[in-house]
This record gives sequence, structure tokens and C-alpha cells, in this order.
Amino acid sequence: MNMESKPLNLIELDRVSKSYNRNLALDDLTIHVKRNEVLGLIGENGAGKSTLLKILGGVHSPDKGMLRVNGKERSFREPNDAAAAGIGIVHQEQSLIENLSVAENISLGSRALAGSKPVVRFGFYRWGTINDEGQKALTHIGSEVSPTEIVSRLSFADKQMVEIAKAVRQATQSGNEPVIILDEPTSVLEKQDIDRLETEVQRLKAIGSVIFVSHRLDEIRRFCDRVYVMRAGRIVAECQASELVDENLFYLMTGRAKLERKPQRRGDANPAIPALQLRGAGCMDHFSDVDLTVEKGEVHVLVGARHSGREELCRALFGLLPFTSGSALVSGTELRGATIRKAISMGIAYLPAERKLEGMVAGLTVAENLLLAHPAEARFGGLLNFRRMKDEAMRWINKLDVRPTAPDLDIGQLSGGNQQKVVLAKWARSPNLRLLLLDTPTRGVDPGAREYINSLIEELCATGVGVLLLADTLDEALAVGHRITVMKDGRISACFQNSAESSPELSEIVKHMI
Amino acid sequence: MKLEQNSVEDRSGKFRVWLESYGAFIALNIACAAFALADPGTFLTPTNLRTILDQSAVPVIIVCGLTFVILIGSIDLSTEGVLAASSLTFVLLSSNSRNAIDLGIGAFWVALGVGALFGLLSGLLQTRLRIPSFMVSLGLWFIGLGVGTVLYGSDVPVLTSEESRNWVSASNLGVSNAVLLAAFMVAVSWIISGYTRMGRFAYAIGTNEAIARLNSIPVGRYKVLIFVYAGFCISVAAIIASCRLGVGTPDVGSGQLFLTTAAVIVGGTPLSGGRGGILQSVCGVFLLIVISNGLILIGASPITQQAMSGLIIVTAVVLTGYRQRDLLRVVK
Amino acid sequence: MQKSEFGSIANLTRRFGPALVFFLLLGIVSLFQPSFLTGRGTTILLYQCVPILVLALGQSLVLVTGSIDLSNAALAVLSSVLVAKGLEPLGAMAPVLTIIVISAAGCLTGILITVFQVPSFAVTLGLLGFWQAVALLITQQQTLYIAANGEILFWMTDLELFGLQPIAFVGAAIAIIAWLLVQRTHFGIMLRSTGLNERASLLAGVNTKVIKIAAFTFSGACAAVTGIIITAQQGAASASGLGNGLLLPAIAAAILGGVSISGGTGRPLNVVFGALIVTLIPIASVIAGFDPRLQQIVFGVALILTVALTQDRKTSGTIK
Repeated sequence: MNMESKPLNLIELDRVSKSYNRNLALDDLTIHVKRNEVLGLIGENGAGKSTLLKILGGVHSPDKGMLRVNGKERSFREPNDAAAAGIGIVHQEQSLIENLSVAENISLGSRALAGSKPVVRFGFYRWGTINDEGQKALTHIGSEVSPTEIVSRLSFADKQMVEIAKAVRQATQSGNEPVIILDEPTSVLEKQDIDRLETEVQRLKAIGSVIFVSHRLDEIRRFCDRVYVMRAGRIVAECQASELVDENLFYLMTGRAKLERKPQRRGDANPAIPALQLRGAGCMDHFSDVDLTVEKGEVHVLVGARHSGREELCRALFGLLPFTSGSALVSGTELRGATIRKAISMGIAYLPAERKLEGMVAGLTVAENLLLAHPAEARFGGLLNFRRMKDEAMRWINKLDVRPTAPDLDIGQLSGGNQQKVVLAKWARSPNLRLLLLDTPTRGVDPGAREYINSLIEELCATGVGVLLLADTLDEALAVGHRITVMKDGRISACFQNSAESSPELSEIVKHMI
Repeated sequence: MKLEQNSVEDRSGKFRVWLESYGAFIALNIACAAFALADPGTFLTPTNLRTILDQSAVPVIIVCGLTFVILIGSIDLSTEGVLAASSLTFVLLSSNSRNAIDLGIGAFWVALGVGALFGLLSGLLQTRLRIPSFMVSLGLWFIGLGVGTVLYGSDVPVLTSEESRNWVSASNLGVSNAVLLAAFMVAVSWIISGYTRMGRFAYAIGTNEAIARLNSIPVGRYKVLIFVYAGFCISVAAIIASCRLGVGTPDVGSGQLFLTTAAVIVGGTPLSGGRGGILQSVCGVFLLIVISNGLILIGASPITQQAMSGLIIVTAVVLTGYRQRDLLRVVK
Repeated sequence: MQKSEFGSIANLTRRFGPALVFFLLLGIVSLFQPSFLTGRGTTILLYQCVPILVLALGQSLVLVTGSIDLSNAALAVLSSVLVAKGLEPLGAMAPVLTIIVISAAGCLTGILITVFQVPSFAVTLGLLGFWQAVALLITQQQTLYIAANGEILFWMTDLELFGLQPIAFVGAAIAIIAWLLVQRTHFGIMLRSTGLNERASLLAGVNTKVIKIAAFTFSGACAAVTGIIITAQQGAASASGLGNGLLLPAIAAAILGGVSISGGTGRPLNVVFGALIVTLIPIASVIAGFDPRLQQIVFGVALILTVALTQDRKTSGTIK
């Protein structure tokens, strides 16, 4: 080991590409992480950040390109390989096993267990050592969680701290210089936890490197030295954190994507009664004091970061969560003690963000999915009228250009965009549709399908349906919304009119989000 | 506001965990107390307690392995089949009335090997061919019974060695050797569950298989290992049961699947896996055996007794699951 | 391109696999013993198959929703006992009341499972023991021979329609009802949808609770009919009689008929072939010269092989 020839960069990714089912997630990406630096990584949802992290963490391997850690070429087959190379990830989704204790989670993973101080000897766990090591790792980052507590009993923020302790321990145990990746670690942390995190990041910076992923610009500026901006699987900019300027940054993140259309206000059939009226609505600790109106024929866009409460607002309107305060009127009728079926009968439709999990039923055909909520007219005795089903399905398939044009195909075999068209059409068929709740309908959807989805939304608006849309990107919000409401920490923080004449600046919206 | 919400949930959560861990133990004590009060003359006598222990030995040994299977969220229906196959293997390889083969202690090892082999086959079919454990073990149940029937032949093989026939019921320490062996198996399984990777990973896999993979746990390998251990435990039970009967018969395990699976669930290990444990399952076995024993003592018919244990299972499952109900929860 | 062709082949095996396996078995049997096809062999096969088939059809509907009913064979025994007991005092009302009572028991199972959100496996395991005990209590562990009003049941086995006993048509009728329910009604779509993705079904407004309760009620009704058929076939009923052994063959018949244990797929008409296979394997292995004692092994291997060949692994992420 000749110490003097240490390479300057701790991690180098050289022309790395990765695609899932022909969707290019990383496109010829080249980045490096210097020794003793905190690198910031920002980009929109779907920009490829999480794929990049998964490659670094050994969860996926790249299709092309090379990964060098401390000058040596590496290929990770499993997460343990990455840990052995000194890379520790704090996952955005929790990676803790809920029913095990904190200390056990910290030393979990078979090879990490065989660290310098063995926690398993002769095949037997040494609980004393495990708890000591766990305690050490927790004290190290200043957490007061008890190492013997069961993870499922911890609060979300405490779990996050355990995740950090675990990643730090794994990375430092390896004997290599640690690289810690923090994937949006601050979204659930309280202020004092964030302060503690900063101390820890500075400490790690002295002995290794840190990659910091966040949506919050002020934190990026506060924590990071250098920043990469990602878009569509590529690096579009690299700069010093201190040089970050809001306007410039969002231009880089969203790209120049021209706002081709400006939403036009439609004539309202009955402007007196809005499609949705919320007064001081609240739901447990998800959101509170929400005053919101969706006029008939209006696309009202909700924007907000994770945990802003906008998803929960939609779910509460659809009967999935109870309103604990305030009132909600749908077309003038009070929504109270609602169930899903009651919400549907009142003319509410909800398109969930998790399409595969909640939006569609893979295994059923396209036609069956389309007709699940509102069946086509049956024949005598309730038997299915297959010809009518097929006609009805073909009408929508042709209208939305669903490909392949096969109503009898398993919907699971369609591409994401085509699946989403069918899911939306399922609700568009509703005979008494009044309020359409759309949770990021165009996420992970190709531009062609996006066009069809947007024009269907427009068409529904023209018939007097009110739309509450959770936009995936700010660009989308500006392109389709008549009004844009910003939510932050469960409350409404701003509301903007958006029309051809006057539309809010991106930076203005961002200011209220973070 | 967030913190308040958490603490409320936390309290009920803690109660739930506590109820799940000790529910069967408390129920066991209540049942014992009730029967002791109802029939103090017989229930608490050493003879009756010894009977309860003897009756529990075989199912306790089976749940030693079965608990791990259910902990990882799988199911094993092959118990009675594996019992039949190992029992006949053991009898036919010991000194018996049918053939001249007498491997002595070797018969013991071969029989254990048969159980482990069934477990290995089960585990490999599940992980390699990706067939659900329900189907694999259903098939293996038939195969095990078939192997037992084939070995059984046309006349009953009888264990001729007095030594092996008496060994299980012999008692040195006040309880029979079968009970001592069961206690030993419980101790081993308890150590496995608390102090080895196999045990700890079983909890991890049962809690969330995907996250277990993310933490570099070789899920497939440990699943196979757990099924091998479960098969091994069933063989131990088979040997005890055959020694007790003194003959080899494919019916040796009749009723054990129902009893042991119910005991694990009543004990507090849910079918979805991830929670529970060996000692809870042992409590579950004792609870079911004590109830049937006590009901007989106070004069209930075996039928009433069966009806009662059915209702107890349903009640236990409803009680342990009640707190987790949720609108979008999916239970199969 | 290749992929879609492969997909369609897999589709074909799922669709016609069970029938193919059955006729293959039948062909093998007739090679060894040509008289099997021409003589009484096939009709006996048919009559033996009916109780398994009816029970398997009920089980199929429950399996399609992603649950399992381990108590249905015990309910069949209870039904067989109830109808035998009730025939003398109640006459023609006995079978009607039996069907109502046993269906209500199935409905109750469904309510328990959906309201308390507990796993069907555990609940029906407990109920299996309970219903068995109830049947034992009713019979006082005696065999009940039918003395009076026997004609109310025995027409099913005594008459001949187109050369067959009416029970064959009862089985066929229930298969057709199940087929209509699963594949020809919106209820069937919701049934499959519940089994494939319960969350998404709920969010599409499907009342998954009612769907599951309906499936369990149907399973109860099938168990009731099975019990009545058993009593008619045997001329007597006993709590330790034929029905007890039907649980696993019926599940096997459903699975061999292509019903997925994880829910969502199942064609009732294929279950007919599943039940025929289950009945034929023992007969076939005897005729083919296998030692009759090998039957269970052949059966177990056939079960695992068929499942390995026909299982749809695409949709299932983690296999439990």
C-alpha cells in the first residue's frame, strides 16, 4: 500500500448507462466524487438520481461504463460489496427491518457482520457486542435512540437517524475511506436533527466523502461543496454550491421545455357551485386548515415537496383517510364519513400515483380494467355482453390511441403510458363525474401518451368537471393549471393564478415550497 | 403534533406486541387455573401433569421446526407425510419383526436424514422452481404418506428391541426421556432463533423479504436451511412417536398437522411471518393440550373438546389481528 | 415478436392443459385396458368425481379471490349428516334447509374473515375442527341410515337420464353456474380483480368485502350440495364418513384445474378436468400396473409437476 499515490477522486463513474425495459435511466453519465468533499445531487423526479444511487449501492449493476472506487475498478454484485468498498447508503425508502431491534439492524448483512470486531462468533450472535456497536454507532451521530428498541416502535425521524447510523457504521467498518450517500435525509427530520446531521456530514467529510441528495436548496447550499444537476439521465450542469442561483437552477433542472400551451379558462356552466370547496379541512397530522376551491371546468394544480400533505388531501377526498376537521363540499354536497364507494357515487374519481399497486389490476384485460368501476350494460340476467364491452373498450382505445389495439390483452403487458391512458379512461367513462383527483398522472409516462392524457383532461374540463391535479413537475403545473396552489408541511403556503396573461415565476413558486 | 400522534400509536402498539408475545402464556395459565379449580383432585396431580407433558412431546418437537417456517411467511403441510416416511424408515432399519436389518443407532440417523431430505426437496422446489410452499408441501404430504405406505407393506412392522421401545417412556429425572428430548429441542431452537443467523434472518425474511434482500441476506439459502431443519425436527418427533407405539405405521402423524399449525398460530406467530417465536409456539401447544386434557377430566366428550379447540383458534386469530385492521390492508 | 408467441403458447397450456393431461391419462389407461372406455369404467369415474368436483368448484371461487377455505369438506360432512337427520321429520324441506343453513355457515366464515381482516387459512383451520365436532355431536358418532322419505334424495342415483345418473348433471350444472359467475358476469371480473390486486380493486370502487363473503357463501352452498350427493350415493351419513377425506383432493382438483393459489386466475370448466384427473390417477395407476400403494406418491409427484409446469410466475413477486 503506497499511500502517496492516492488518487484525487474517491469515486469515479465513467460513461455509465443503465436502462430498464428500453427506458434509458442513465445516459452515458460521467461523474466523480473528490476526497473530502460533500457533493450535492439535484434533479427532478425521474432524472435518474435514484438509479445512480442504486448503482453506487450495489443494488443494480450498470449496462455499460465503469465504476472506480479509490482508483480501483469495481463491480458490485450485491449491496454488501458496496459496503465492503466503503459505500454506505441512507435510503429514501426505509431499508430497516421493522421487527428487529435497532442494534441488530445496524449490524445486519452477513458480510458486514464479519467486520473487525466480530459480532458473530462461531456462528453465534454476541448480543453484548451487537448492542455496544449499535450504541457506539448511535452515539456517534448524536442519536439518543436505545439500541435495544424494536424499530417498528420508533418515530419516522428516529428511524432515519438509525438508517444514518447504520450506513455510517457499514462504510467506516470496511477499512476503506467511507463514502456516505444521503438520499433526501432531511425531509422528515426536525431542526435539531438537521443540525446534528450537519455536524456528522462535516465529520465524515474529514475522513471520506458524502453524496447529498435533496430537494431543499437551502440545505444543498448549507451542506455541499459542489453540485451536479441531473436531467433525463444526464448531468446538465456542475457548479460550486455557493454559485447556485434559484432561477438558473430550475431552468437547468426542468430544461427549456417550452410551454406550448397556456391553459384557457372555459365557460362555466354553473359558476355559483364549485366542483370542490374545502373550508379549514384537516386530517390528523397529514394536513390542516386547508381552504381550497376547484371551480367547474378548472384544472387546479397542487404542488409541494414530499410530505407536504397533498397526496393525503387527495386520498381523504376519495374516502381513504378521514377528515378530522373542517368541511368538504363536492358540487355543493357535504362529504362526510365518506367511503370509496360513496365518493365514487358522488362523482369523485381518483387516479393514484402508484399505478401498478393501486391504479390498475394487472392480470385483467384492458377492457376489464376499463369497465371495472362502471360496467358496460349487461345482457338479460346480468351476463356480460362481450360485444358491447369490446365496442366500448375499442372506442376508448381508438380515442386515446392505446397500443396495441387489443382489448383482450393483459393490461400488465402494456407500456406505462398506455396503462395510464386506460386507468384514466376508466374514470372518464363515469356517467356523473364531477371531481377528478389526479396524483401525478404523467409520471413515468412517455411524451406521446402525456399529450393524450392532457387532452383528455382538457376535454373533461370542457364538460364541467373540476380537476385537482398533483403535478409531477413545475413545468407541468404551469402548462396545464388554471390555478396553482403550493402546499408545505400540511398547509397551503401560496396560491397563484396561471393564465396566458399572467403566470407566476418558477422561483416564486419554489420559494413557497421549501 | 406529530409526536403526540406517535405516542398514542406507540402505547397501543406496545400493548399489541405484549399481547402477542404473552397472550398464549396468559391463556395457558388461566386455563390451568380454571381446570385446577374445577377439578383439583385430578388436574394438578403429578400423574396428570406428566400425561400432559408426554402428550405434548411430539407436537412440541414438531413446532420447533414449524415455527421457523411460519416465521418466514411460508407454510408446511407435509408434516404428516414426513412423519409417516421417517417413522417407517426408522422402524424398518431398527431391529423389527419384518426384516433382519438392524442398524442400531444408525436407524436413528437415517430416519433423521429422511426428514431433512424432505425439507431439502421442499426448500429447493420453492426457491429454484418458485412454487409456493403451500403447493410443494401439499405434494410432499402425499409423497411422504405414499413412501410410508409402500414401506408399510402388508403386515405391521413391530419394533422388537425392548430397549428402543422403552427408551422414550423411561424416566430418570421424574419425566420421560421423550419430554427431556423435547425440552432439549426447544432449547436448541430457542438458541437458533435468538443467537444465530438462521434464526435472526428468519425474522428478517418474514418481516419483509425485499428489504432482507436489500440488506444482502441470502434469502433463498436460508429458506432452504429452515425447511431442512423443519424436516429434521419432524423426524425426531417421528422416532419418538414410533418408539411409543412400538410399531411403524403411516398413520403415526394423524392429526399432527392440525394441532401443530394451530399451536404456532395460537401461540402468536402470524401466518404472515416476522413476529412470534419458539417459546410462544410451545405455549400454544401446551394451551391446546391442556384444554383437551382438562375438558376430558371435567367430563366433556372428545367432541366438545374438538369444538372448543376450533373456537379457540378462531378467537385467538381474531384477537391478535384485531388491532391491525386498516382500510387498505390486504390479508389472504 | 418471439415473446408474444411464447406468451400465447403459455396461454394455451393454461387454457387446455388440464383437459390435455386428462385425455393423456385416459389414453394411457385405455392402452392398458381398452375395455375401460367402453365398459362401465368411465361412468363410475364420473360418479366418483362429482363430490370432489362440486367441492372443488366452491373452493375455486374462494381461491380466485386470493383466500382459501379449509372448512368446506367439514361443512360437506355436516350437510350430509343434516340432510340425513332431517329427511324423516322435514321431508322435501330437508335438502332445502340444509343448503340454506350450510350456505349461511359459509357466509359467516366470509364475514369473520373480512370484518376482522384475519387470514382465511387460520380461521378456516379452526372452523374445520369446529364443524367436524358439530357433525359428530349431531350423529352421536353413529351412522345415520335413511329410513323414510329416501325418494327425495335417491332419485339422484336411481334415475337414468340419457344413460347417466342425475348426479352427473347436478355436477355439470354447478360447473356451468360457476363458469357463468366467474367468466360471464361482472361479478366474475370483480372476483378475479379482488384476487389479483385487492388495493387497486378497492380504489376502483369494488366492494371487496362483499365479493369475498359471496365467494365463501358459494363455497358453503357447494359444500351443502356435496354433502347431499354423498348421502344420496351412500344411502347413509356419518360424521367420520367419506366427506372428511375430500378437502385435499378438492384443493388438488382446483389447482390441477389451473386455479392459482395466490388468487386471480381460474376457469371453472378446467376444474372439471382437474377433478377428473384427481379421480382418475388412482384408477390409472392401478390399471397401469403400479403397485396400488404407490398411488399417493404418483399423486404427489403429479401435483408438483403440474403446478411447476402451469404456474404463472410472472405476476408473483415474492413466493411464499
